[in-house]
Amino acid sequence: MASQSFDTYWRGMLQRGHPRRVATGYQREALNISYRGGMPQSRPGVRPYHAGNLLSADTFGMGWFVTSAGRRELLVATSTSITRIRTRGLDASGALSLLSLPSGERTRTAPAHCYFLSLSAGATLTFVYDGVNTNLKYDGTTLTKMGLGAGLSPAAPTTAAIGGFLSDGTRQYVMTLVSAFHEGDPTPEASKTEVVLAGATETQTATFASPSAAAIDDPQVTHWNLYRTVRDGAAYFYVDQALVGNPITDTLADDTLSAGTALEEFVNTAPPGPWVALCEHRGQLIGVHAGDRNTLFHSYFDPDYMVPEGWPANWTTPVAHGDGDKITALWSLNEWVVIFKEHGIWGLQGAWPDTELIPVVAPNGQRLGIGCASQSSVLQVDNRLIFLARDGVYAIDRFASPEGGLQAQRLSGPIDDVIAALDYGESVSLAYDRRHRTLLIFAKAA
Amino acid sequence: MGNVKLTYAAGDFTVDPTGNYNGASPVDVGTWTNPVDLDNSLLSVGGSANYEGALLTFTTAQTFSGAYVKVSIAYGAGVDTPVMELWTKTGAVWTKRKSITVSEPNLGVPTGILKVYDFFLDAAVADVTHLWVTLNPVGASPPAVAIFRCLHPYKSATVASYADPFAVASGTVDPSGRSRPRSADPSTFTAGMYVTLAYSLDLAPIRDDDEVASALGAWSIWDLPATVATQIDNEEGNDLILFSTTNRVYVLDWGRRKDEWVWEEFNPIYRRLVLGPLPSSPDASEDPSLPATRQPLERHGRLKRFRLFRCTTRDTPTETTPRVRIACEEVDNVASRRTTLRTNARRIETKIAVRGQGFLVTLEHADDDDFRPTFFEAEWDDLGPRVQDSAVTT
Repeated sequence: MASQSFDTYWRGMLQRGHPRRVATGYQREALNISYRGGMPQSRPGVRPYHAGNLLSADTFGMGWFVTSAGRRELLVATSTSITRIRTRGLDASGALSLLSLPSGERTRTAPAHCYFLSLSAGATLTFVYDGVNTNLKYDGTTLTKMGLGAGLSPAAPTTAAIGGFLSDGTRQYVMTLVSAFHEGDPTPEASKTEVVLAGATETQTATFASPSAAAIDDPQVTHWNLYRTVRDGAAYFYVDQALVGNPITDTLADDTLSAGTALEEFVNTAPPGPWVALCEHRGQLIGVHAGDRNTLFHSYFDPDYMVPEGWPANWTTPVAHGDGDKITALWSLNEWVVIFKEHGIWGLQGAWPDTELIPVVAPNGQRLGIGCASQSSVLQVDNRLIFLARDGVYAIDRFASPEGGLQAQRLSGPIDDVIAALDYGESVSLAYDRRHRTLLIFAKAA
Repeated sequence: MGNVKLTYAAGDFTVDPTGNYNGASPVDVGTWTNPVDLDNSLLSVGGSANYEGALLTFTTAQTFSGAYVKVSIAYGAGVDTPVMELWTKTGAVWTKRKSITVSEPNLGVPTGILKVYDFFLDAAVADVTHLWVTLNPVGASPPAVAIFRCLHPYKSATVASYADPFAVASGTVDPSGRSRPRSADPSTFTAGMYVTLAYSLDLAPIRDDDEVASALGAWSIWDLPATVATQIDNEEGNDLILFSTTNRVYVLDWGRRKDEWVWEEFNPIYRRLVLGPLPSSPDASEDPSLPATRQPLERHGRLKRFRLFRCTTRDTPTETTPRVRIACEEVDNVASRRTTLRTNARRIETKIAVRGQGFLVTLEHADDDDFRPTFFEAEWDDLGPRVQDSAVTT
């Protein structure tokens, strides 16, 4: 009589075409088993996070908002709304109101996926994007549009001969719109308001009425700023700020004005389109929008603070534009932004405009000819990115060489047949439990 | 063991309200006005009381496993730090088992909002005669219970409805069972079925397999039907992993051995391990006392008769009728499968006779205990060489 025994570390499942003679420790199947410490045990149980069927529809994405006090709030995207669940075991608070969005953007289209990005610093905000609808931001109470539109054309002012320090001459006026988190771009040059003062005194004033809330059509706008040039000048300087509904009276002498704050133009533009992928990297946001799937857009960068809602139109980096592929995900990894396309992966090093693109390579040094399906197909685990590609699960990390670089290694060899049975692009999310040293890939069979 | 709910309606306990919080010494202040309120559904919006605490006296001593409590606390934000506490009494001694600070940013809840408090214990406590769930009104305001909606205590016991944990539809969200795999063999997956891949690291004390990029982890398949997932650090610094199924959100709980897809409905987790092929590898099956030509692997082509399988598990089963189903079949020959249902124990030994060249042994388990096999051994008889294919034999 012959026998075989096994009494050592278990190595998990081997589900691929293989000879009968296999290394010790593999099992043909392991369903609902976790191999903590090299020994099989049950997977964890599940329990409800909220009471009842309180979400209005099926979910398309989940993310977090962390209040300044540290309270975690779960945000759940259903077909056309965002629901907040405040704490474990608590009833869902219900869908967040969309009434703080511009009137034409309150009706949303059901997306395929919805993603969330919480800022690590600066304003306490979570951005919501899905590649279809207006990009949103959540500040703990209100859901508003990401970015602000340009200022409207200032209305013709009412002038007075006394009360200020303005003299005769021609001056240009523009305005910006201001929310609690951001100041938008100024009135386009073509819509500036030219004012000619001819009161023949040095004490003139010009009073501008506030644009109406209806004309602004963005409930997050609380203030408006007025800027103007000096007489016959071209550069704009800050005049004053007022609540929407309140007028601004310009009384400043040109000398006083030009000694003040200059207008920053072209840096606070709203996002160019619905983001498909978005990441935070070294104090900037970097995104790809649905209208151009091969170009990175970089948010405005200031050494002292983030400007996550300002997207200079020319701060862009083409990524193999015209290669027939499209960017699907962006992740920050150490000094790199890793750019996933469907059929290739690139690393971006440096800060705009001094950036360098290099391909991610396989251990043999060849460029990796695979990518991933979406932003949720990738997860950072320790100092590596894990992602699900068409042919397996990969880990990307820096390779140790003087010239540096990024390389990818395939992890899923033992379960090739399982990978082949999955729907690569459908319903994939990743999670990693550090305490239990377990990576989870939630997927769907094809 | 399963969790069985105790109710006032069934006469499992009586209840009195308590006031003037006094740790370790609850003082009842009368009779609970409408005790049946405590049996309200967790989703209930009607029926309530505003007592500071509920003192339950069990009709008979219980092996207490935990409770759900749904209350609303009114307190001054930033001023008060109210605490919900759960105490048990064994003999003459009151012991505080669990407490949750209501104003804590993550486990707690804003003032005046109803919350379901999870008071399940890590391990059941035997011989509990009394249970006290109370607000500890820390703060000057002072905090107070606005609504005490329901209290569901549980004992640790065999679940009566534990009929057939191996049935296809058992424990599934989709009653048809089609949305979740019943096997980790991808040939059994159907289109649209949700499959979770789990990759466990750090299998051995050596450092080689610690890192995710080592590619030395262990893969397994879980049957969680997740459409999207997310994670964040929980209040203890661990990873809180949530996933969504249709219009509900669930949390992964490593402390539980059952699934709770709907509040207070506990379903067994179906675990399945397929071992083999046996014999499999040289280091697992070589017999140093035999010549090379007689080593098990050199006899792959020989016909064998599988005789006996034995294994040990790490845990002593706690169910009244713990079961494990063991099957053996020839590799790539499902028709040869022989199955036996055994009482689960720390040491299992079963005789199964199957003829073939190599074998697969399947273990199925679905109790409310962990299932941690540590050792297994298979025995077979060597029947001799196959008859060579010829014009006659084929």
